[in-house]
Amino acid sequence: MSKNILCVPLDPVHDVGLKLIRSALDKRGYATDLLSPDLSLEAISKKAAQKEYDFILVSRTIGYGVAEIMGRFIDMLDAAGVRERAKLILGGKAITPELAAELGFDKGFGEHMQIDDLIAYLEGKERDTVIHGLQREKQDITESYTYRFLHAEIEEILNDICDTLLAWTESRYSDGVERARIREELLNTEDKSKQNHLRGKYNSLCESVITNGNTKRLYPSGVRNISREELTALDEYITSTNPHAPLKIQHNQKRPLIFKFLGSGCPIMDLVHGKIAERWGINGFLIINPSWEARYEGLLEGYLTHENDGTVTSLENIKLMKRYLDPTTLLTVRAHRGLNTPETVLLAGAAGADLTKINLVYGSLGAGTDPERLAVDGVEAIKYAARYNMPFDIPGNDELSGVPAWKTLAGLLINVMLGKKLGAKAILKPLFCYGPHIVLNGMMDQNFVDFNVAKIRALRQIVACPIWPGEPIAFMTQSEERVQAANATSYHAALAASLGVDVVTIASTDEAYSRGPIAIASRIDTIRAVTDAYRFMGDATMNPTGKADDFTTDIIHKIIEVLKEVRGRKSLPEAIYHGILGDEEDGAYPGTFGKGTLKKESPRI
Amino acid sequence: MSMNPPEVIGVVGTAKNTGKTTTLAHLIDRAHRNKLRAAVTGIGYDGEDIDNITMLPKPRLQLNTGTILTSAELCVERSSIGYKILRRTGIPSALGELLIVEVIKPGLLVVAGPNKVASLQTVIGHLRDLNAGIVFVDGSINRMMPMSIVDRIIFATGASRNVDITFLSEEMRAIEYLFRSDLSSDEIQKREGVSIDNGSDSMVLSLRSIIDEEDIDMVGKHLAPAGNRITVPGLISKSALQLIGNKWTGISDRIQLMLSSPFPLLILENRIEVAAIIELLRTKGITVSYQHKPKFIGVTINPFYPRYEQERFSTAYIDKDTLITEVRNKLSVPVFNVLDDIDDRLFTLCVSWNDLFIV
Repeated sequence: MSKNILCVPLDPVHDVGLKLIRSALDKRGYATDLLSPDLSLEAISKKAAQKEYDFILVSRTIGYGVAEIMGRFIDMLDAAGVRERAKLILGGKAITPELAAELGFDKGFGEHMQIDDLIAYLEGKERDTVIHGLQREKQDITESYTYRFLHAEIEEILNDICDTLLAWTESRYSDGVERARIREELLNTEDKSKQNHLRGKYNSLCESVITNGNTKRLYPSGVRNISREELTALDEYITSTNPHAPLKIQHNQKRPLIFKFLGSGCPIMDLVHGKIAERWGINGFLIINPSWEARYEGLLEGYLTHENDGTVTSLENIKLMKRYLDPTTLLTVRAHRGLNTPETVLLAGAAGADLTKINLVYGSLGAGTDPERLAVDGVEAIKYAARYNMPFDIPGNDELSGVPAWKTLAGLLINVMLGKKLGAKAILKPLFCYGPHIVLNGMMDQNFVDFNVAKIRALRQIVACPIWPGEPIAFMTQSEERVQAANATSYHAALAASLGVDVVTIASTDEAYSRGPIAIASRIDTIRAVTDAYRFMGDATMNPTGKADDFTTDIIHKIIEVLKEVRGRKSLPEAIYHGILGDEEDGAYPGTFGKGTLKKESPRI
Repeated sequence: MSMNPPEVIGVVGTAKNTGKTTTLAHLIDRAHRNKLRAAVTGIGYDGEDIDNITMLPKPRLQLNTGTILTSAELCVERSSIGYKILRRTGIPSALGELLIVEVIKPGLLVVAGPNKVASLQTVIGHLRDLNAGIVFVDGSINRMMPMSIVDRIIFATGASRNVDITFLSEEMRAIEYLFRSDLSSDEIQKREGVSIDNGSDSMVLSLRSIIDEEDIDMVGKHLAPAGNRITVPGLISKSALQLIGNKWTGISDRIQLMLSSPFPLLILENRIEVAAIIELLRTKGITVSYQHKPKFIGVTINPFYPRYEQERFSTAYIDKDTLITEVRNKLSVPVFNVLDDIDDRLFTLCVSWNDLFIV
């Protein structure tokens, strides 16, 4: 039997929401009456009593003093005999179940109400508000890309560079490569004596700070084990929390996906933030590790927390993330610099991570790893990525030091070709940033659109490969003001959506200025801003000026020049040493960690 | 101390933040000290630590072992009390089914009770069955109608209602005046519609409330020149009260207007004006009486109010001594500041058979 519903806009102005709801109810066959918003409470009570209404839907914005008006209204319906028959429902932006109960209503619906929630209530079928899982499918970022090079000249040069590099690395190895092989055997054996032998061997290849941690639990400053109680509490928290219905960032299933950083140092805090961000629709996370982790030979083991920035990427910590994050949430473990890149990729793969991050060029520049060492380790890391079928993203953050975009992009392309030769799928990560070289040369004096567009167009003319602007987008355009930071992120996300790229990484609104751990509210700021940007753009696109074409042509031309220079050198490391992919003037210096540590012969484990 | 059946005491506020929870907490504490088993229910949702609108901290309700409590399932689960469920009422609320529980470990909690008269009657029935010594019904915001079934009532008023002390004292005087009208001694049959008994004839109309001129005229058609009793089971609006003084007195020179309780008058806007209209009607031969009314036993005052400045609320106070003095000067019932008056005087009024202060 059809239910009679009276819609009462108690707000003198804001009755639009109720009109929309009424229209939706009418379409579903309910008999509704809508009162005008200017009636007295007594007059409304009379109307409500004149017909046998099953439900009275009231909309009202809440401010101080309104509660008393609502209290009188409910009392009048009570006195008029309406209260005993009809159920009273309150809706409005600030309405919570508690407020509805306090005001004497039977049910309250807030801003995020869906019409199905209301229908379910009208039909006496309360919807289960605990929604398990994110109700989405896991995305394969590389799906539908052929990795075919579309620019023959560049393909030919990259072939030469990479063949030379692979030949150069063939006869070299490092302790980093050896540790990865030992760790792989450790993962594959149950034999205790063999494990002990392998652990001894592994420890002999680590620096004392790592060995002390793994054998005596004497960890670097600020690091400690996570206790059993803490792990139990985490499990209880995550399994007993009743999550709200998940939201979606993407409009009409369109890309780009959205990634954020995690890496507070504490995997538990990371997970709590991660679970909250998941419900706001985030698609994936990158774990940021401590800066010192890259400088030591060897990796720490166990569930570890770190009181400063960066979460230790031990096997156990990565597994912890994968255990509690939704199966559809993508997790990236970064291995693009440092002395443990092959082992990090191995552990990421073994722990079930979805992606890793490798860049032989950027990892060798600006306080990075020695180019020769990273060339050998990086090639091995890409092989592990291929083995675990983990795509690797290639960050182009050297641009932030002042390296011109074309040098950075040339470096990215070398990695793509290397991945192709070694059977791994790469993802290009050009920056959407206001980098120093751009500032100095005025490429963005007119707008922030043309030059960013040119980078994407240039890459698309060169190779059919996924593109993931990073890292994060809007780098160096954000200020300390949260609103401005959220806006800057959303504009860049709108541009990314307009260009149809695959993924973007976004910062929180306090990322650059937090002076401590990132606040969860600041994380949500930018997620919400991007959600609105995607909704705003939909299928529409931005129209760059003609300057974008000029930039694109120029960038491709300069990429060719840079790659030719790299090819002219004996090997990629030598090219990096000579500043071809970023020199001192660009603010890029070849890294020194692991310098002189390469060995000629492959050892026997 | 024990009584049978237990008295049902309602605490209502003239607005949010007028001190209902503090008054209730005081009475529960006094009941506990006097070894009287208290049962608590509400007519909405109260006792939260942060105000749902101002976001300012609120007093919490501390309950001792043995107290019987009615609240929504969600509130009970989220409280810090230890409890055992005595009964499930089957009454739904915005925060889950209403449960009746016994406190087995003291703690803080939020009371969420039934939001309509019939449900409150059911809950009070349960509490009587469970041998409660005294039943407290916590008000919600300024809501009053469900209180029409309690035995005794306490009003909480204060600066949160209005910072003008003269207004507060005048309003309480008006409330006391509206309670003063007589109870009908006649057995009156409960009817769904407005009924008119004019001595020779008795009829029931198809309307339950008297809201506007159309309703007034419909009743007016059936009035005899003298000796009418009009029973209104529903609502009567303030504008209707103003009009009947002219319209009905032209037809009849003596009318008894019988309302279900004082509450249909108390929920009208501006009680001071409503009391003045009722007094004026009395002079014109229209007297108001009630089928039922709780005993009005006292008033508590609260000088606190949330001050709105620069887009946020902050804590502020008016002068509490002036407030209590002025309210006392205007009323016959006793007036308390439960934060200062820590003895049993208010509690005694809840359990005593002595009608000394009762209007």
